[in-house]
Amino acid sequence: MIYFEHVLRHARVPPPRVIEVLSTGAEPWVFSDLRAEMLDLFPQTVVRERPPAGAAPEADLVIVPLVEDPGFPYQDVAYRSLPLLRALARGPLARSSAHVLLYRARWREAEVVAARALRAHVSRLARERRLTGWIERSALLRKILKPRP
Amino acid sequence: MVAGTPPTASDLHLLYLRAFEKIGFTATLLAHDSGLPFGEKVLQQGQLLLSSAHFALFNRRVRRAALALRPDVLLVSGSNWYLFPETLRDLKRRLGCRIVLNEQHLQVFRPYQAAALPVYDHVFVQDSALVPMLRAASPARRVSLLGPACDPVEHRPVALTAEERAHLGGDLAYVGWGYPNRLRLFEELVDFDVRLWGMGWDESPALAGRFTREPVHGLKKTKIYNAAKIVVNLQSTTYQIDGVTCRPFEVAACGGFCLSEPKKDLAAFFAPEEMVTFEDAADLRKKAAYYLAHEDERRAIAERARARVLREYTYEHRAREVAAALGMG
Repeated sequence: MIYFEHVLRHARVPPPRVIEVLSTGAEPWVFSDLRAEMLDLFPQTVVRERPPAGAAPEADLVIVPLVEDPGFPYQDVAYRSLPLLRALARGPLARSSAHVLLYRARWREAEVVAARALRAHVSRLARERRLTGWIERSALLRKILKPRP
Repeated sequence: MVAGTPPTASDLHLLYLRAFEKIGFTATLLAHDSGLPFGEKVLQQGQLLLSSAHFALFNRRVRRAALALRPDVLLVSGSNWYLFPETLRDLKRRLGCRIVLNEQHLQVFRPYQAAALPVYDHVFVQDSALVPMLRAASPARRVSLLGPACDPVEHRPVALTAEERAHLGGDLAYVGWGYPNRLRLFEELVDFDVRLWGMGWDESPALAGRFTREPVHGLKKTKIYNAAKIVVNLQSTTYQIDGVTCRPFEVAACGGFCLSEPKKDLAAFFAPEEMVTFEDAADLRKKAAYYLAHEDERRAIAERARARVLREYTYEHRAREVAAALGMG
């Protein structure tokens, strides 16, 4: 519905013929909810589930659900999935022409990257995590950046 | 439009965006909580959203985007969480654009929020209690109520499978945060088939087994509003005084039946034969039992509410209200 419509339109993703949802967790609602949303947007599209490892995708759009429970507010669960994302960025997916939709399923946030740009995107996520950790550990930095009174 | 895309609320800012496009505007969303540039994202993740550094980065981004886009209207939607009055003043001076606040969380009391009030050409509020307060106690020039709304594409009757009806249905449903007032209410209703969706419900041991930790967004929320026999509406005690959120409007657009706490604004939007209210847990129990036993009455009320919201309370209607108030209708 409108959230995915907005995210995909903003990323200029054309209507996909095939969407593959990677089975990154055991929660049954992930695939069924995503499938329902995608079919509502693109009724003619084939939506199927596949394991994260394996051959190059046949899909135009590959959805990577990140289903961990985030702390509130705003903790980016993608940081906890960096090994998975790095593996995807090194594998056949990164050589495909698909778009990749990283979907934080619980604290809903989705972002789209071209599969070929996934490696650079994962590097950026890793840099964000390193810097965030540095800020959290540094009393001096926190003092400098302290919230406005 | 400067707004957030919070996952726990309705997608109302995106729905406003679509409505403005529908009535002929070109609309762009500048989100303050997702798709962030590197620096803002690091500060967000470091829990430093209220730091001077974050304010500086966000204000610079808004300024640059506005100068590039040169909008006729800069609409701050939801609340002004991070914009300095100087930024708004500067944009108004350089672009000659109208600057409008659509305030939905009673967030006008922090120093920078209050100082920005005289800069707005119009302040829309979703809670009528805020109208006299802002008119009397602040230099805001024009203040008016902009009610909640629904979107007939997003919130609509949908065909459900038997499996979906069993999973998402139930006698009483609630989609939202388990605030303390909501926990207390539903603790008194556990002998009904209660289904609670959202975060915070696990705070109450008495509600164990009544809630699910599955996230609810978009189509799933629409399906729940379709599947539940009764959707309860109890507002937050933090963000509403006389106001209501879009929940009763969305439920109505889905063809669902909503039992709501009474609110002054709700009574202004719906007639008693369109929306039933309850005073307390005992009254909710009595009315829930009655309407569960009288499906025809439930359906008739829901149909009248649906007709009303589609006729008067869609985002397109609200977008036209905004445009008319700005002399752009």
